[in-house]
Amino acid sequence: MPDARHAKAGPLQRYGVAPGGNSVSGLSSGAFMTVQLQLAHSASFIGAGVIAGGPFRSVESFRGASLLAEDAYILNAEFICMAPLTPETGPDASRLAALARATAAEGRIDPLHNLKDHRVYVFTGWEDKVVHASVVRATRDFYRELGVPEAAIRFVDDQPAGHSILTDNPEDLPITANRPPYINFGGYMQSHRILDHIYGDESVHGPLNPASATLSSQLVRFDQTEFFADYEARASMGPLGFIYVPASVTPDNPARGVHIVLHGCKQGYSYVDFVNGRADLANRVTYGSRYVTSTGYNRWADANNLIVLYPQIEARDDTAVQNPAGCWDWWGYSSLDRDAPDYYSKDAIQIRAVHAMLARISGADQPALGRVTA
Amino acid sequence: MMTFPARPRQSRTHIPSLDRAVKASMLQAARLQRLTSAATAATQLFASPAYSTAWEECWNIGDAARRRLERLQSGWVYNWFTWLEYCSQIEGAGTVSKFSEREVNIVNQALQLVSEQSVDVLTLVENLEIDVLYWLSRRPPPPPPPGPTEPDVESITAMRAVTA
Repeated sequence: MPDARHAKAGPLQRYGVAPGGNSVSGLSSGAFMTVQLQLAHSASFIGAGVIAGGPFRSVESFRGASLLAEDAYILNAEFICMAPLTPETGPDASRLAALARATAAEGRIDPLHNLKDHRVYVFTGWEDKVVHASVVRATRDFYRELGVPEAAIRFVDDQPAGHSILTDNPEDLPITANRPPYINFGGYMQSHRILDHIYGDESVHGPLNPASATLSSQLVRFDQTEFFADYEARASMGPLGFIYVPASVTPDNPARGVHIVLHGCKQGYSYVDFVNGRADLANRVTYGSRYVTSTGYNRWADANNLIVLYPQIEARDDTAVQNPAGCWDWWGYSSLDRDAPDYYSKDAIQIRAVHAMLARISGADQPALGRVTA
Repeated sequence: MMTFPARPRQSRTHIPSLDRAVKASMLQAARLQRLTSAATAATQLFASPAYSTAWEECWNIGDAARRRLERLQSGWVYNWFTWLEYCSQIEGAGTVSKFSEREVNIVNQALQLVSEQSVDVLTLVENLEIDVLYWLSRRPPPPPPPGPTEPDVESITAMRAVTA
């Protein structure tokens, strides 16, 4: 039975968007998914921001970890892709770059030559105890291997940050913290650094403005179920998504692009903590709302005519999906085929859903101009 | 709407306790298989003189595990001191129900700490196992042992000429 609360959210609308200005960023599982989405649809993006994320298909590093493929991928995720003991026991950038090339040759992701024009921001904090710095260095090396120019890669590893996105909000956790909501005070808005880098080429994007102090518009909820309706049992995506459209975006003044923000584990708007294996419904946290409203993306977007899209994952732990922390799929939980999971290609459920949202916003799913809304 | 069947679950019976036993056995069997593979690969690797860096890399993995254990231990000590502090504060529990709740909290907190520490240790052990096995699997295979040399065709021809 449809939830009456979700009926308040309308469908995702189409807006005026200039071509060639879309990008994506994410934290943790959102960062792993950022890399996957960027590679799957590299023709649709101009850059990416990766905070504490690993390279493409890195859970497939060591199939021999277990007899069962699904167990092997989980063991890879935990002990090779997140917390390897040394760099030698972490993801191998060269091998994974070769795997990406093979995947592109099969036509399962866009051609990799698109990456030559991308700008990439990669961040790891030296106090990160969840996704260790050596893994994120492998991500930087992975981009190098795939031909992203050195000048277009901004790699930052000089902060004592725990596993988090950094903000200048004094109410957030200390910078070294490694606990939910994974939003730490770093004295600056990391989202602004990401967007400054991705859109920083003045010859292409023109001059940038400093982030606004206040917002000219409001966050809008939308019903995101239409984008995964055929696969609802396995998608592990929530019924609602969020979008921020600055007031300056009109049919006559299209947005410079759409930036997709992918939250990390335990950061979806509907996340419920589990205590001793049981959902703690009496003490629901609101991490997800904080990620959407307080990480600074909207203020930068407001000043620079950018639309921000926040698709949302929903935690599930049932016979169809085991995703109690509400993470984006980077180890195959949404796949039917457990031996050869498809979580990384253009056909992956979550990638297809998010890319369809992008197509809707920018009108790529409707060639004829019809219902452009401001 | 397209529908998909639920995923088949491993070792599913109608008896939950039996399911648990089967699952635990499967995990232990997988672990035993991993350890056997690791031991075999390690024996082959260290028997070969060709990999002088292997010892150093192996030492680094062990050292990293030791440092991680030390960090865990310092966290455990901090948590137990916090628990002791909670135990020592009895002021404010002015009713029978609040006093009882406090006593139960003390026990529950201790159980929680023991549980978390057990999981921490098991996670570290599993981390070490997987990382070592992965590291061994990425070593190039040892060079083949020196076998019989290729027959020298010219010598054989010359020998035949002499004996003919």
